[in-house]
Amino acid sequence: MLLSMATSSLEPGLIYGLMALGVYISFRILNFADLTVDGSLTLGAAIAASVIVAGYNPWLGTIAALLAGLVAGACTGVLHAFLGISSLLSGILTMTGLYSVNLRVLGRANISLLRSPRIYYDISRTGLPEEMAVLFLSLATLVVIIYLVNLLLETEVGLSVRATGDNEQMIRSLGVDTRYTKIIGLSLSNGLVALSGAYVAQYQGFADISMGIGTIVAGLASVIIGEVVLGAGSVWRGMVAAVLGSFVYRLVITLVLWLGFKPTDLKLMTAVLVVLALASPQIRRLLRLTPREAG
Amino acid sequence: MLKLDGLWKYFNRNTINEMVALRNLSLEIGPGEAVMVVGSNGAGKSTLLNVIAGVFPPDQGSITLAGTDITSRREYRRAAFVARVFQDPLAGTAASMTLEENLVLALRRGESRRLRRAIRAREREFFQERLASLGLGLENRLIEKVGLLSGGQRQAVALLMATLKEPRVLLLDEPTAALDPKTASLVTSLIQRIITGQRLTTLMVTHDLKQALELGSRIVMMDAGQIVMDVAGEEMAAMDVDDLLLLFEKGSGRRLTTDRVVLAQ
Repeated sequence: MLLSMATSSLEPGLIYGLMALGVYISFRILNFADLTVDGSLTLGAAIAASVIVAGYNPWLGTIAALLAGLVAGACTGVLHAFLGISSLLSGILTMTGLYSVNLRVLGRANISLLRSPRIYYDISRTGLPEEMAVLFLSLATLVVIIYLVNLLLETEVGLSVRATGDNEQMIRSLGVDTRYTKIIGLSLSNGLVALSGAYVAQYQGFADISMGIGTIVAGLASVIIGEVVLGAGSVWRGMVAAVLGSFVYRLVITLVLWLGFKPTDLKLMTAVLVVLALASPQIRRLLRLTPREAG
Repeated sequence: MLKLDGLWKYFNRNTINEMVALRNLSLEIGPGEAVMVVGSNGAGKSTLLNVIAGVFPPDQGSITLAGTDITSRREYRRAAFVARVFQDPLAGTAASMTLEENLVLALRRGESRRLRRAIRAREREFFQERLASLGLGLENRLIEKVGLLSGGQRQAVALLMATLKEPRVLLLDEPTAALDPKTASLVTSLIQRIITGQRLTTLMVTHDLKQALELGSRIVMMDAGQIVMDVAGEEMAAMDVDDLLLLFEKGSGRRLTTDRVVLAQ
């Protein structure tokens, strides 16, 4: 039973793992709770779906989704860094605007991909068993993305982005214009989230205007669960943890459904899960499981 | 080297809480001078440092560095010339990043950051050599997170970071005030080595008059946004803490009253 649940959680866990990587970058590296992701996940799905339905190569649709996500993230970055809008509100504004954009892209509330080609088909054509295609492709994508992002974050630019999230005053005094590093980080984050959206749409066979709702909470849940399981350490480790957390999160969802909850209850479950994870130090203190600090 | 001309800085201007932090302040600092800025709380010492670093612009007046007017340059564009150490030992380093990552960020101070691998063997060697000169054993902890170091170690690293790429002007904002006495004296001796060894043009805010006499080649005392006393050279060399206090009273017309200054005697 548990094994079959684990295997059925693996695929969405990995695909949404791309999204968790994006949230890890904005939330943990940039220290920016970015609500844009609710819109950019749908944006990625919408763009990939409409490109595919229009008869183009699904890979083209997937790349286009990634690029659109990069732009969406940059929008939030510009609102925050250049127009001085608070981080939370910048994300909300872009997310709200994206709702209309996504409807325009989709043309209607949802697009079905049931009879359309998808990136996974190309993989199964190479001789890999069909049921392995999704797993293989999403895993391969994750490995490549984690490698590339890690490489990027070890460059001078990447270190500046990380320092911006850690100690903005310091990195400004070292001559970095933090407006740009924030835009770079947010752009990268939302690019990955949109890429995840494109994978999701092709995995589930449709893109829907409301599929992005709650993405940020699911992403935070994944990041935090991952840290609980694997611990926080280097960036590399944090990214692997986020993906692992994404898998555990999907597993929890499957478990909750199996317990008899309705799919519509899931958002509440997720919210409670994130509250528990974020508040665990406070809760532990209230329950006096850890001694109070002196002074 | 550094020329401040008629600086004014207001906070909450045209409100009931208006406060003048700098009042027509002019100061010229020659190359290699180590100027100690002392004065009571609220005298405008930190504001002065912030205006020079470009955290905020002055409301009036100009700042010239090595012949270039930098008054309206933003903070990150002054970093090529101006390096800074903050009072809070945690403020000068990024806790979640490793020691070598912090150092390489400082090594490229004021340069445009590129898409190339930040740390290579050459940098690592250089960092080890410079860390060894601190004498804290940090040269073997390059890939440890800075958050694991003590406050004093972090302040020493911050000081090293400020001078890793030699600045035209070094700004120190009470760098030892938040440290315990033992670490403070260690950091003080590091500052001493930088000032006398590298002959950097330095502007340091301190509450510790004894320290000011030890480290400075010139002492400037501020009160209510103005410079009320300015001593250097032989005149300064012949002074002790009591002489400084007396001089301050003469200049400002009142006693220097902060508990920290009193304690420092």
